[in-house]
Amino acid sequence: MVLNLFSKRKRNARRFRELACPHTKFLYNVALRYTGNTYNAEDMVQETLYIALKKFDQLRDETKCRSWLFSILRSIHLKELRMICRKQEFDKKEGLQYASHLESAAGSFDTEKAFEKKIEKIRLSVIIDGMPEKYKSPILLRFMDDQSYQEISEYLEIPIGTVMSRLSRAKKMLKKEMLRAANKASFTDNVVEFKRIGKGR
Amino acid sequence: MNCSEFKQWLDTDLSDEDTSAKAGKHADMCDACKKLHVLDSFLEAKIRNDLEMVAPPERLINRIDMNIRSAENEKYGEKAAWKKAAYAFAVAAMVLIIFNPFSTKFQGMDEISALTVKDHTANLSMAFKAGEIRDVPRWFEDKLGYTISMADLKTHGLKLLGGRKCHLGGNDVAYLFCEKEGKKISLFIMDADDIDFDMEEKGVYSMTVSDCDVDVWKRTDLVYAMVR
Repeated sequence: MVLNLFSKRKRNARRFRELACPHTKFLYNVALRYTGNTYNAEDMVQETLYIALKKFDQLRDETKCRSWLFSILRSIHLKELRMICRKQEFDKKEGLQYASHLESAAGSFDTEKAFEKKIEKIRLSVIIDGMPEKYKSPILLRFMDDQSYQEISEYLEIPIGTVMSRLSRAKKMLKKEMLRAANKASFTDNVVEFKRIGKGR
Repeated sequence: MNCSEFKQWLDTDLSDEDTSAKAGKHADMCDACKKLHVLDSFLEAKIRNDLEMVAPPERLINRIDMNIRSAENEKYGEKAAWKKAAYAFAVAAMVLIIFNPFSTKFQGMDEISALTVKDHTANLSMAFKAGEIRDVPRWFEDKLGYTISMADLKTHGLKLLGGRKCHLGGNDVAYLFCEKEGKKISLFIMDADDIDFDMEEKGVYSMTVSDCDVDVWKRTDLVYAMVR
């Protein structure tokens, strides 16, 4: 009987390792984008898997293990956001349409190569960090995990139409911020430093 | 499609294949819109590239593994009181029936395997990590009073992660926490004088206890138990 109890626990742990542990990479990458640094991301993944192991009996459909783990991770992230009362100001930076931004960028850069070079230098993680979660999560699932609209809708438990509009808006936000960053960088590149000429003694 | 419609297409993002084809056709004919299209694809590619997944650090994988093992034991501790009592009673009965509790020496393979597996699954603490102690055999000699050999680690392809002095059934033994091909392995090294039964030096005694594989062998004055 004792050995039975012992081996049942072992079997549970083995099953958990088989089902949940393969998603560590996915969870870690989402956590990395949520938190912005590796150490907090590692903590978040550990907490997610710890909760998942404790509630492993509640996972009815084993094929949905990945989305189940994601929902745990996301709820931890949302809880943390609520605790620090962090407000992302991205939403308010609407202004011009994306195409107008793109048009002005096209005017600022002589060649496409120059633009590409500038874009390459941009730190996307910083821009993503400032995005509200409702836009950040669909972007991550779509671009990082190649998920379909249907899958994102299931992961985030929102209607497919909402997924489509949020993704569209999120992409435009992201691109507009990238254009702003590229313009800013090209402006600072053009600053000429003058040597201060001191008064002769 | 004209330039204004093309820009609208860029802004909406949610268009069908037909509209996308028309936009592509217009860009082929209009240089200004073509440039916008190219710049847009740079941005799109940058998002895709920068969001490519990276491998999680090895330390995270190791910690998760340890957390699972430790949570298993914690889960056990949360069982109903009657189950705890039943387990304690069963363990006491097993000790009385199988082992001789009045002798501190190991009475048989069953005792060694049961005790080592129990320690392997329950105790994750380490007194030192690999690299912290320059002379590991010397460290154990000071703690245990007998010298251990590390040669069998190399023979079995084990990478040392840490170690501690371990108390098994009334005997102090060396415990080495190792890794082989990503799998955590415990190696217990006992003084052959603490063994109260005959053991041949040739060959390895293998058994499975509670889903753990245990190999026990003897070399010179030491007895090794490897749990994985």
